[in-house]
Formats: sequence, C-alpha cells, structure tokens
Amino acid sequence: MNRLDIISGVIFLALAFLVLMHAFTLGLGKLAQPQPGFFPFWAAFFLIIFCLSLISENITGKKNKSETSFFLREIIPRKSFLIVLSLLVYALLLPRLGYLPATFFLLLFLFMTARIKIWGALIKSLLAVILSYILFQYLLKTPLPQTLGIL
Amino acid sequence: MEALNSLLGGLAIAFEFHNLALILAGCLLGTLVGVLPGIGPAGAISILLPLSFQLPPAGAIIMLAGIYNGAMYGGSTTSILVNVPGEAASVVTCLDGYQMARKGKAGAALGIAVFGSFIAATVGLIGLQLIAGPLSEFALKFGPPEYFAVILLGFTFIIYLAQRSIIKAAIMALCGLILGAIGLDPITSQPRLTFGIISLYEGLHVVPLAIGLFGLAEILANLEKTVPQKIIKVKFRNLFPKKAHWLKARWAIIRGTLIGFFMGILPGGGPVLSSFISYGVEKRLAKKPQRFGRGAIEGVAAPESANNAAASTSFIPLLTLGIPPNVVLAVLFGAFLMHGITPGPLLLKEHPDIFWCIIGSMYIGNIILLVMNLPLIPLWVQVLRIPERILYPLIILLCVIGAFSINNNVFDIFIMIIFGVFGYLLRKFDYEPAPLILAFVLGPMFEVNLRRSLLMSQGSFGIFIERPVALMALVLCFLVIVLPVYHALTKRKK
Repeated sequence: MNRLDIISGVIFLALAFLVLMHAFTLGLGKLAQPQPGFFPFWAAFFLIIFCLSLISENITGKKNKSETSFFLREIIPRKSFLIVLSLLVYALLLPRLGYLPATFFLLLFLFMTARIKIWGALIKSLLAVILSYILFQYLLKTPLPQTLGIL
Repeated sequence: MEALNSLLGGLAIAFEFHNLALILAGCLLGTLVGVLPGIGPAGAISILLPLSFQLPPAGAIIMLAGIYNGAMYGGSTTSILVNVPGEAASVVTCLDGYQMARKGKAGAALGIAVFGSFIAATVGLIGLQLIAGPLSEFALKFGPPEYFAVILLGFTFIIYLAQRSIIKAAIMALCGLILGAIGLDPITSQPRLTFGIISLYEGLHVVPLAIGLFGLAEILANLEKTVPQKIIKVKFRNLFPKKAHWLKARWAIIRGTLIGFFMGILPGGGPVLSSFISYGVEKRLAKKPQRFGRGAIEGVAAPESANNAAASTSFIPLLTLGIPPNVVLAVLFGAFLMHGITPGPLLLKEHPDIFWCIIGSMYIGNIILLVMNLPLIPLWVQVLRIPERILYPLIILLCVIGAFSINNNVFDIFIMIIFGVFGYLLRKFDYEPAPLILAFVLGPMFEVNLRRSLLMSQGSFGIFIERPVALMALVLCFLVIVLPVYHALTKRKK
C-alpha cells in the first residue's frame, strides 16, 4: 500500500468526475455526430477507470515501508514554497509595476533566499535585470511590460 | 539521387553565414544545457524559444534542433567527470563513465562518447534523409481513420514504454488529453473546459506548460538536492581514444546506433529509453558482465551512441507524419506551429527548402559538435563550477520571460507557475510528466481525426477496420497490450 498513490488517485478521480460532469453539460451527441462533450467525456471516463485501478491496486497491495510522508508541509519544503509564492506575487505586480522594478525585486528575493549577501544580491539583481531587459526588449524585440509608460 | 540533390540544396542554405551562426549558437547552448545538471533539453528549448521569435522559420528551427543535438552530446561530460547526469539520456553513462574517470581514463571515456555520438548521429541522419521522402509520400494518402489509428498506436507505446508504472503513465496521458481539449471545440467552436476564463478560449499553449513541467518543476526539485561537485581533471591530449579502446567499443557503438535508430522512431522511445536498453543489451552480451559498473568502455559507448542516433531519427515521425515521438520534439512541434509551419507529410511538398535545410543543418551541427566538444571540455568544466544559488534565480528569470513572451500575457506566467507546482508534485508522487505533454500535443489531432472518422462512417467503427493502415496500427496496439499480459500469465503458470 502506498498512501501517496491513493491520495493522487483520489485527486485525479475528483478531477475526472469534474470533467465528466462538464462534458455532459456540453452535450455528448451521437456516434454519427459527436458533440464537444464527446471527447472529454471518454477521456474522463478512462481516467476514472485508471484511477480506480491505481487506488484498488494500492489498497489491496502490501504496505510500502519506504513510503515518504504525505503531509503537504513535508512534500513542499519552505524554500520551494517561498519561490512559488514570490513568482505569484511577481505575476500580479508585473503589469502594474512594469518589467524593470518587478523583476528586480523578484531576483533580489530569489538571490536572498539562496543566501547571497545583501550587497551581492543587489548587484547581481541589478545586472541581471538590465542585461535581460536589453537582450529581450531591444535585441529580441519582445515587448516587456513598461514602467510608468517609459521603460 | 533526388534526395542527395535536395540535401545539397539544404546544405547550401544551411551554409549561409547567418544560418551557420545559428547552428553554432544552438550547438553551444545545447551543450551548455546538457552539461548543466537540472535542466533538460525540453525545458531548455521552451525557455529559449523567445530567442527564436525574430528569426525566420528555418533559422529558428535549426537553432532549436541544434540545442537538442547539443544537449545529447553535452550530457555525457558531467556524467563522466562529476557522476551527475546533465540530462536524462546520460544517466546510464554515469555508471561506467565515472568509474573510468576515477581510474584515470576520463579522456578515453569522453573521447569515445563524443566519437560514438558522432557516428551514431550521422547514421541516424542518413536514415532520416532516406526514409523521410518516401514516408511523407506514403503519409499523404492518410485520412482521418489512419491518423487516428497511428496516434492511438503512439499513445499505446508511450504508456507501454513508461519507465515506472503503466497505470500512472495512462493517467498522465489522459490528463494530457483533457488539458488539450481546453479551449474552443475544433469543429463547433464552442468553448470547453474554460470555466468562463477568456484567456483559456485559445487553449493552453505548450510552451508555458513545458516550461512549468520541465523548467520550474526541475528547479524546485533540485533545490532539495545537494549535488557533489568533485570534478575529475582531464588533459586535452588524453581525450583521443586509443586503438584498444576502439576495438573494445566498436560493436557497442554499432549496436547502440541500431537500437537508438529504431527507438528514436518509436513514440515514447527516444534518447532516454534507448540509452538504457543499449546498456542492458551490452551487459547481457558481454563475456564478463561483472565489468559493467566498474569502468567498461562499452558501457559508455553504447548508451551515448544510442541516445544520439535516437535524437536524429526521432525527427522522422515529426517531419513526415507530424507526430512528435518524445517530449523534446513535442515542444519543437509547438515551435514549428509558432513559426507558421505545420510538420507533417505536406512539409516536404510545401516547404522543401526548410525541410532539407533542417537536415543539412543537423549534419553541419554534428560536425561542429565533434570538433567543438573535446577542445571545449575545460570550459564546460568551469561552467560546472558556477554555484547553483546564482544559476537557479537566473534560470527562473528565463522561465518567466519565456512564458510571458509567447502571447505577451501575464496569464501564461500563471499557467507556468501552476504547472511548475503540478510538475514538482508529480515528481514527489512518482509520476512521469512526459506522457502528459505528448498527449497534450497530440490530443487535439487525435480528437479531430476520431470525430471526422465517425462523421465519415456515420458512426460506424468499421471504418478503422476497412482501411489497411488503420487496421494494421490497431492490430499493433492490440499486440502491445495483449502480449505482455499473455507473457505474465504464462510465467505465473510456470
């Protein structure tokens, strides 16, 4: 028995049911004229079958002693959690602040979580943000979000 | 003869200065990606895709193909010198490569890896050049039932060849199909699975998805690992294998090339699996199998030849049928579409210049990699000394820009973050994300061909049996599913 497999099986099972319900609302149609819900329905249907077999295989199987902990806090360590959180904040701030300040703060945070000293982190962030701006905005012509409508 | 003339035309385009510069840039970036542990070619191509936006389609594709081939070459360097594989296809090279290095034979290991890679990739390219034309011609006769059956066969192989659980691979593939169905219905244009989010009407793009699953997720996973950085020193004069090394490795290179050649074409096969299979074959055929894992040169030659041959031949199904056989080519498939080119049987007819330019560039890239790889090893060793705490924030920055620049939309950054966390959790829960991406890319094609077939036959599944190619593909699917079950049952009875 692997509890991680049972948990993941249940999560995918729930997702499959959600898609299945949605497919019904879209309409399945007939075999001669399949409607938009036809394909998601069958994909979700087979997903349910495989999820159930994964769950049953693990319920009936022997206990796996080497199983890792299933507690979320142990699955996602603090550092990874902070990086994801900083990226979410960055995505929210990017259209408001513009590329230069938003990316500078993101890099500063990332370098500091990597235990680089404040001055080193400041210089590295500044360099990286300016060089990436020149490369993408001017050389590769990728329109990055502007700051105060200027840069 | 016609193929040779076309190839010469392709080589002439590839030899133009700007194309040559792009091949060189692709090979260098690819080798760098291969050398650096943590980010594989799929993630790298997705992240570096913005670099190709301003390029003409042929230039963009040859640079991205160079990254792929360069990564295959570069992966062996870290495997041999640090015992850390730069990318998944070089995992098995660590076993004997590092042991050889510890015994003072790092030069021979690196040399045989590079020369074996060159020979195998060249054979793969010759195969690609010879097979692509006739196969494209044949595929032009394919209708929706044939495409449906061939893609179904692809899915069966992808799931069957999963490196871990087959059930989990099937779950991943089905998730990919569902994700691929997000957006407007391909036939009626009705929104599906969008839950009222307008940005989802055009569907999810493969690039933020791939950056999340193979870029960000890899970095998050690597943050937990502490990579030992004991690099073995090697002198340039020792990099050329001696006659004895060649004699020992020649059959391993030939067998590795053949295995890689066929595994590359197979959906779900590709460089990673072919390297493992070729290593297994060499160990089984060896007179003294106990030498493997202790520094056998065949253990380096075979997997390195196999993964490079597979990298070349994996372009066959992509360029001729429009079906990417592995994750990297699924991302490359997205790159083709972004540049307004649809890979498939019509590619050779509509864009012969691009088709032959890609093949020509791969020949040139192969030579560049052979010439460049050995002298640059000291440089790659220095690159390995860059601390991860500096490297990872910069790779995250490239992930963010890569996702944003697809549509200049912040929504794609959110998609990248969501799939980064999803990919990270998949690794924790022991799922492979590769079947998901492949099914995501092939899903819309699979659905459209299924629905068109059913419309053509008025709802009868007989249409798949009436067509010989479709029937053959379905019989193969059946065999792939049934034979292992039959073997397992007979084994249990015995």
